[in-house]
Parts: sequence; C-alpha cells; structure tokens
Amino acid sequence: MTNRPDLPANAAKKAGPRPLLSAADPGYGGIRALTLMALHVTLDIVLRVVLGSSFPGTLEVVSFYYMVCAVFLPLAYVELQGEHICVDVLTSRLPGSLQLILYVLSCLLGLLYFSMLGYQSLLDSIRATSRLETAMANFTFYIWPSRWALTLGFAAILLAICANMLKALTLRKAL
Amino acid sequence: MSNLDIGLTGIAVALSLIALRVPIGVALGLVSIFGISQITSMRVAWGMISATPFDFVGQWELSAAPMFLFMGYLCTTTAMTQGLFQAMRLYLARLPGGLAVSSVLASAFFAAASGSSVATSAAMSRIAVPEMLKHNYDKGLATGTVAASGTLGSLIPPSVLLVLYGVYAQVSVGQLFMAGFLPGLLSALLYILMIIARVRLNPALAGDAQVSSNWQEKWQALKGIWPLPVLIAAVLGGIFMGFFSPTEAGAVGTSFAALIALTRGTLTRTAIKEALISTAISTASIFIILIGSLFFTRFLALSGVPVAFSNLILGVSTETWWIIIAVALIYLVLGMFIDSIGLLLLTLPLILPLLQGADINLVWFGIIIIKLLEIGLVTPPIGLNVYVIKGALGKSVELAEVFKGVTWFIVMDLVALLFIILIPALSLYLPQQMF
Repeated sequence: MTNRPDLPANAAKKAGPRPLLSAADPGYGGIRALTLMALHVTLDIVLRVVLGSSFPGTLEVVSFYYMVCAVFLPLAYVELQGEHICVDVLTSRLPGSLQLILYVLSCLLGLLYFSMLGYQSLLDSIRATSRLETAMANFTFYIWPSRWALTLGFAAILLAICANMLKALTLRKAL
Repeated sequence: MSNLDIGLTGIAVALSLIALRVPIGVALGLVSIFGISQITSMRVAWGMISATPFDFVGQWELSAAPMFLFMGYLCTTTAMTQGLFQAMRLYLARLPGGLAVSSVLASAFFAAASGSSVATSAAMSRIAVPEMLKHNYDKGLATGTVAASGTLGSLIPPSVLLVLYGVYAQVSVGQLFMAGFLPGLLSALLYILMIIARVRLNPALAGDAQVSSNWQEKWQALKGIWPLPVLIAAVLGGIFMGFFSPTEAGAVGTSFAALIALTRGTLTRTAIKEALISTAISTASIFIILIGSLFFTRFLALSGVPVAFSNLILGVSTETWWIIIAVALIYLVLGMFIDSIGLLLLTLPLILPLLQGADINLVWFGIIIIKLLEIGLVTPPIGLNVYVIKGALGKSVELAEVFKGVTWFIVMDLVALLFIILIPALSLYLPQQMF
C-alpha cells in the first residue's frame, strides 16, 4: 500500500492536533501561506463581482509567495510524519533487518537528492538577493525573498531525514 | 551507451528504487539528475535544478491544487462528510440494495469533496461496510461497493488529479472539470443500476436490510447532508457561469466551506488547524513527486525514449483504440502498486508525447486516462483501494471476497469506459457550453 497523505482517513484516526507546531517552525509559514491564499483570492473575487474591480498583484502574490511558501516550507513535515508518497507493498513482506537496510539506503538517497536541491537553491537565493530579483510584471514586484523559502525548506527536510534515520538506527527498525 | 540506453536504464533504475520504497519523487529526481549528467553534462543538470522547482511551483494555475485539498480537508474536519451515508440510507431504504446504493452516492459526494479515491474508500469502509454487514449483506457486495465507489471522485469535479493533468498537459482545467462531470455521473449510475439488478435477481445479497424510519428522522437527517451538495454545486456553478476561474474556485470553495461550517457551529480552531496541517503535508508530498516528475520529463526527452516509445506504439497502429489499449495495459500493471497521483505523474512524461504525436483531443483523453487510472486501483491481483479496505476491516473479510465483489464494478467501469470512448460528446459537450 502506498503511504498517501490523504487525510480524511488519517485525520479520523489521529485524534487531536499533531505535534511540532510552533510559530518558529518553517512549516508554520506554509500554513499561513495557505490561509492567506484562500482569503486573498476570495476577497479578490468578491471585490471583482461586487465592485467590478479588485486590487492588482493578486496573481503575482499567490504564485510567487503563497504557493512557493505553501509547497516548500512544509517539506520537513512530510518526512517527519512519514507521509512521503512511496510504495511499500513489496518491502513490507521482507524481514525486518532487510527493511531497515533499505530504509537507511532510501534515507541516504533522500539526503543526496535534497542536498543537491538545497545547495543549488542556496546559490540561487544569494544571487537573487544580491540582484534584488523582480518578476516580469507591469509594476516592480520583488521575488527574491521567496527564493529563500526553497533553501529553508530543503534545509529543514535534510535535518528531518537525518533525525528519522538516526531514530531508525537506534530502534533498529525501519520507520 | 547510447542516449536511448541511458534513458531505458534510467527508467529501470527508477522503477526498481520505487519498488524498494524510495519515495517516488526522490527516485525520479535523482535518476534524472544523474541521467542528464551522463547524456549532456553535470552543468546542464545543475541548471535544471536551479530553474525547475521555483519556476514551476510559482504558477498561478497550480494554486488550485492546495486550495481544493484545503476545501476537502475542511469538509472532513468540520464534520460535513459525517451523516451523509446515515441520511442517504434513510431515504433510499426502499430500493433493492438500498444500503449499497447509499454507499455509492455518499462516496460520490465524499470523493468529490475530498478529491481522493483512497481516502474515500478508507473512510467509507469504516462508516458503510459495518452497517451493511450488520444487515447481513453479502460481504463481496458490501466491500466491493466501497472499493469501487471511492474511485468516482477523480472524475467528478473538483478533482486534484484533473488539475495536475491540466497543468501538465497544458489543457484548461475548467474544461477538464466540465468534461469529467458526465462520465463520473454515468459511472455512479451504472454502479447503482448494477446493484439494483443484482439484488432484484438475488435478494439474499442484500440480507435483511429493512431500515425503517419515520418522517421526523428523515427531516432530521436532511440537516446533515445539505452542505456537501450545496458546496459542490456552488463551486461548479461558479466556474460554469464564469464568476470565477477554476484556479480561483478552490479558494472560493474553501471560504464557502468555512462559511457553511460557521453556520453549523463546527468551525472550531482545532478543525481549521487539522485541515491546514493535512493540506500542507499533502501539498508538499504531491509537489515532491511533481518536481521529480518534471526532472524525469526533461531527462527522458533528452534521451529520446518518448519518441522511440511513440514510434513503437504508433508503428503497430495509429488507431485511437490501439493507443487506448496500450495506455490501459501500462496503467493496469503499474496501478497494482502505485496510487493514482504518483502513477499519473510517473507516466505522463511518456504518454503525453505519444498523444501529441497521434493528434488526440487532450481533454477527452484526459478523462479516459483518469478512468483507466481508477480502474487500475481496484483490479486484482493488487488493487490499492482493495487493500485499503481490507486494511480498515481487518480479519472480518477475506481479500478474495473483496476482489470477487469488485469484479462486478469493474465490468461496469469497462462499460462506462466504452461509452466515454465511443461517445466523445459525453466528455466534450459540457466544456463546449462553458462561458
């Protein structure tokens, strides 16, 4: 069965809010972005339908800020909650020790992948910041700050993978 | 090694890693980075890593995906989905197999709101199956109904799968939503007719289901079911009438769902927080695959595999039916162990070039692809939905019974698929009427 994050099912199972939520979490920024996205777009439409005009820049703010934050900042949650979309029909029948080896291997591959993504994002963020990067729009719209969401998100998921791998090794059991 | 060999090796390695439980996005991404560095150079690979994630995610059209997920989770956490089945069964008690018919309808609404087949089946197997078994329903019928009905959600809009397909294939998401509506409805109708016919012929299948109720109970139950149909109608109606775009519809739907929950007094802090966390996790996990799949698309394009694959398939025949059979075979095999979103994103890099080469209407074929994907979720030997149900119910049912029960629904799915293929207007009429 694949691990899917579809929650209607899981939410019913897990009572109460999940842990690791404080305002300092990068993931919290993702959650704020989702809330703002829903409110901002709704307000934009209400104004458009009622008044016939709305404020400019909704599209840019949603695309370059809310979306980027909502996707990248919560990356580490996915790892910590074991909600990666993956296939475990085949491995679940293997003996425990072999599962642990495969799990550690998969963590190492994850570390390699996300560190490549994180490294490149860091370079991009620094470059974008030094140039005060803007988006193509008919007004000045800075996008360099949102570049850092990628760097932050990838760094967070790297830490999360390390934490999970150490946990698995200590427990001698694949998570 | 020729580029084509590198491409084919890449596919084999990626599939092996996925089978060994490496997250799908990580497997696709890593293989692509190394594949590209082999075909061209590491510099090209770094360039792709630099450009792709930020530019792709910062797309207005894609914001529909998290917003529809948010709407779905909000419906669940504010208890809008509860009571749907309980109410339906009171109204449909007189029909032969009334409980099974109620399950189909409740699943259809639940799935439309939640946008996920597996989640719908998991939830409904806890709500509806015990009720049916209590009334001595045939176990195959009870579980088969829930396994199959979960798949209705990806065609009945709003559907996250359709959003992803639309953005990927550069087809209007609004048109896809409208296109999926009638085929989804047809599938549900065929299920219901089949259940009624089977129970008519063999009443023992539906046990002793005499659900008695009075008008007072029915009136009470109505309070529990209005929100979901109203919400879905408002979202679809707004898109159809042109009040807002499909991209904006997710956000409007979320606000509307919050408003409904507010009037019913279920919009608690916990409910909002739960929905937000679930949405954030789902969104991030889907985009991990999406980014991996984009890398994979670049990699395959450079290797020339999609062209070779298209030539291979189109070399046999360029008839539409043959292409459909070829695609169906791929989904039947892979649908055994990968769920719909992963499968869609895994296969589009190969299948889209094929369709573009064969000059097929991408809206119509999108509906066919989604239907095929969903059939793959319930076909033996390893249908994912079937396993989810077995997992939720534990030892009280045998796997073989679920598969036996679901067979009837697969037959109906094939009939529906045939209709969708033979009558393109079923998918294309509504999009043409849009404002």
